[in-house]
This record gives sequence, structure tokens and C-alpha cells, in this order.
Amino acid sequence: MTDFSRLISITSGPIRSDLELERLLEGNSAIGAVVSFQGYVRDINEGAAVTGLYLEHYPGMVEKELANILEEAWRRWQLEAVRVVHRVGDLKPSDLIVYVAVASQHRGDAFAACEYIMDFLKLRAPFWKKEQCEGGESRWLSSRASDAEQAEKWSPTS
Amino acid sequence: MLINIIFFAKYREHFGAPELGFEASEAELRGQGTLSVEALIALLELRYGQKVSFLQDPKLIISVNEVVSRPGETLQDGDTVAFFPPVSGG
Repeated sequence: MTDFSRLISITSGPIRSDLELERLLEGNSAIGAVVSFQGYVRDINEGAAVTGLYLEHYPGMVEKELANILEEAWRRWQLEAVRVVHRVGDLKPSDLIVYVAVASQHRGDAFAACEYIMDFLKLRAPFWKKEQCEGGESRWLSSRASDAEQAEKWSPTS
Repeated sequence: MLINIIFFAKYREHFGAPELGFEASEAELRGQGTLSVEALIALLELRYGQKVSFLQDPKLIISVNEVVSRPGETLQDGDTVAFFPPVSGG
């Protein structure tokens, strides 16, 4: 049984996706494909100029939810390695918020599992974004209806 | 019965503090010795009024000991209940 919580990091420092990829590949020559997703802070959202982003999370529950998502991905697809790194605290435009990488023998499993993990991270993992806009105003972002629709395309079990 | 309560994001700001130790008295438990999540919300509203108006938010999410709660879930002494808005990570 894989300890999925070991594959997850929550960090207040910058994410080094190059190092994360190296670690993912390390010592596993069965890996034939890696698909990764990287999410960045945009400098414009809903028509407003964004100067910063604050990310709050629920320590403990975040790791549990992410571990459940990884466990389900591991069950659905033939995977060799997985890594999820999420930034918290104060971020600036162009900073990397999230890094998800999935390794498998063939590309199909890695493509599908990477998308699955991101869809459910957006839906279930207790993170909240607060945007700082130009002029000093700030606002909490609500989840998008499209995020729920995105996750609905995955059948409950397969 | 002592329940640890945590608020996140906009609810934390609205309440004015991130957490709270909530002691439900025997009278409040009405001698039953048990407390449901719904009854806890009613007690919080009685005690804190407008400070917890977000507990009526239809989008409110509740977790008990870091697991999303089921309607009617019964709380035990020492449980941690968190109230938060829909998540927006990634």
C-alpha cells in the first residue's frame, strides 16, 4: 500500500518544478510518460488587475483530501509515480500555485490521471484564494460552477 | 461537552477569529448528552448572533475531524468542527 500523504507537499516557499520532476523520475526506469500540470497566478481576473494572491488552507484536512484523490487515481489507472505540490501564503502574479505530475508506462494513464487529480483538487481540497487588486481592494474568490461540472465527467467508480 | 470550532477564509474574517472552544452546557444539551451538527449551529447562532450569520450561507461546508460532515452527524466531546466556504485552490 502506497503512503499517499508522502506524495503531497504544502509549501509557503517557491515550487521548483524541475527538481520535483527529477525526484519523480528517480530510480524508476519503467516510466515511459510523464504528464504535469502547473497552475500560475494571473495578473488579471474578472476584468480586474491582480497584484497579489493570498492562499489559505486547512492543514491536516488538505493532506487527507489530496491523499484520497491520489489513492483513487492510483486505483483507476496504471501509474508509476505521482507528485502534488501546492503553495500557500502570499503569492505574486506569475508565481507557481500548484504542480501536479503523474508518471506511467504509457501516456494515456498519465494524461487521464493528471486531469482527474486537478479536477478533484479544485473541487475538494480545502484551499481558499484571496486576491489583492490594484488600488488596494481585496476579494475572496468563490469556486466556479465549471469546476463542479468538470469533475462530474468522471464516473463515481469504474 | 467541549467542541473545537475553526472558521476559514471569509467566514474567519467575518467572525473575527480563526477558532473557538465551544462549551455546551448540560442545559443546552437538554440532558441528552449528545449534540448534532445542526444543534451546534443553533447554539452558536444563539450565542454569537450576527457574528455567525454565515452559518445560514447555503454554500456553507462543514467538516467534523477533517472529514466533510453528513447531515444529522452527532458530535463527541473534543471533536473539531470546521466551517468554510466552497474551496478555490489550484
